[in-house]
Amino acid sequence: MKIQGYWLASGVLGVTASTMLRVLNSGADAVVTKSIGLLPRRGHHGPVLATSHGGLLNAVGLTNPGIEAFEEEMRILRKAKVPIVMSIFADSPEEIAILAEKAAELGPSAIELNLSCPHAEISQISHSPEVTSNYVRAVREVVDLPVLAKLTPNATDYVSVGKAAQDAGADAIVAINTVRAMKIDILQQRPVLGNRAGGLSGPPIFPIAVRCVYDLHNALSIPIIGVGGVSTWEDAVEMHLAGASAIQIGTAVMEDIEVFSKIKKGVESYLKEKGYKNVDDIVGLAGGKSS
Amino acid sequence: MKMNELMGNPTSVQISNIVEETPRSKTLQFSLENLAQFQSGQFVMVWIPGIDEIPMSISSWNPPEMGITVQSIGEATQALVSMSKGDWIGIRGPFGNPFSTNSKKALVVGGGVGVAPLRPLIYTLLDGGSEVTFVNAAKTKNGLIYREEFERFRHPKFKVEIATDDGSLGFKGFATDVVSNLLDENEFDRMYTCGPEVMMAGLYDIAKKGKIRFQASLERFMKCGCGICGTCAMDPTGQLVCADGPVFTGEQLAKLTNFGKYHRDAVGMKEMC
Repeated sequence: MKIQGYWLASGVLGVTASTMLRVLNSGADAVVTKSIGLLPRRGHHGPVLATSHGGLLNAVGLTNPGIEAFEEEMRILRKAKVPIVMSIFADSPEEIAILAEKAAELGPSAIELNLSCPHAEISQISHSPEVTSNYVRAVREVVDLPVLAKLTPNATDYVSVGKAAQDAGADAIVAINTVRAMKIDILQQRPVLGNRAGGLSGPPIFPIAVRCVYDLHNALSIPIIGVGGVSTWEDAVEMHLAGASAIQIGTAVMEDIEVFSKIKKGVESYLKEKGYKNVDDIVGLAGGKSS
Repeated sequence: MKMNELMGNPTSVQISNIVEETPRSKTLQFSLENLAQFQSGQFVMVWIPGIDEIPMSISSWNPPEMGITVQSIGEATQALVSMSKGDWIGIRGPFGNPFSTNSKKALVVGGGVGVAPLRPLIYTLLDGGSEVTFVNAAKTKNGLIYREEFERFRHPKFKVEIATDDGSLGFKGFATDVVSNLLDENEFDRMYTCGPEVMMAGLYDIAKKGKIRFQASLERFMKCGCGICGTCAMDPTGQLVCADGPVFTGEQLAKLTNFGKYHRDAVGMKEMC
């Protein structure tokens, strides 16, 4: 699959085939499924959502029906012949290899490795270049599909982590996952989220994502898929300028499921006005990378 | 993005009053300031500290007092019915599409705790000049919520019928049986229902045959309440019970393959209704 366009980010409306088809019909170029594991998983108790400073905090906790039950949804999507990226997560390189093989059999266009959910056990993977490399390599060895590594902005040196993913055979980097955060209710004087801590998404993390995408684009040779707080076409242009070849949108879908087509239209008129032929002409344009 | 608004302006409130409805259900009341508008059929997300957050139908709204009627079914509802006056809960909402109250002669059918969102609907319909026949159905007499309230309630345009599966009070049989009998001798322009989905699916068939406009309030496992998690999706349209429902019309239900058939559990696996 080509790394381009505007995709639904993992974790939003990605549980059932019906909602994913609806998002595609609303203009998304591809959808990323909710992260799927080997076995069914309940996730954290509610509240799984909170809000603070215009952002959304979540601690869903990787709720999913397991890969076997998910097959039925993938069958519907396969029939519809639509671009689906399957997001998967596991506790060890051995397990993710088994899972990736199973996932590949379900016919997705690519596989996204969730190496970075900030409020579950797997949060630490993409803090370490070595561990990240082990996971990516394990999957690379068993599947021929494009492998996308989704990284955390919470790591001190995410550029080294990105390089490790690239060297281990990742076809693209997805940056960023949510930012570790917390919301405390001042009347009840306790954290709102059932898991206490969660991940922040939405407009407040946009500048964090831009910086990560910028740094990764300058350091790596594989494409970067930008994600984090994009909700307008202006955001999308900025993200492309930072170095994103494709963009994922999640939280903004909450306000408007038509966000994909609106962004696409806005970016198109920006390109036209500035005299560019296509998005590729502006990817990384704001960076110092010599092309 | 207006995140606070999209999230239903989360706020914490103290329970101000508790009404015992049946041995297993209670109505919790609390004061909600700054609520712009509520329409019958909408729901709120209720945060039970340390336990969970669950969707609850709004069963009364006398500004600024809001009520939710809770029946002990699982861990979260058990914790809610065990709460005392002064305890804190979190409220987000209201969410969802309301019932359309455009009816001159309405049949309102509630099963078990499904009567909760129908209570404000009944009063709204009557206020708007509609004639209302209310079927209050439950497995047994002890499961009839708001029984006394509607027994005592006198209104020239209001009638109530009681039905219990075991015949411990009123008509012995299912809500669908009572409704079939009522339709033999009466005409209604709209049927409203909330309750067990098998009951609602049966009523839908009856309404379709009788060419009566139909509205049902559906329940699905819900985590966010505001259209983002996708847990409450209906097949094959991808409509969300939280954002596109919980009230669906007969025309909408006709397109849903899972209405009356299956729902998805906490992890997203299919379960028969």
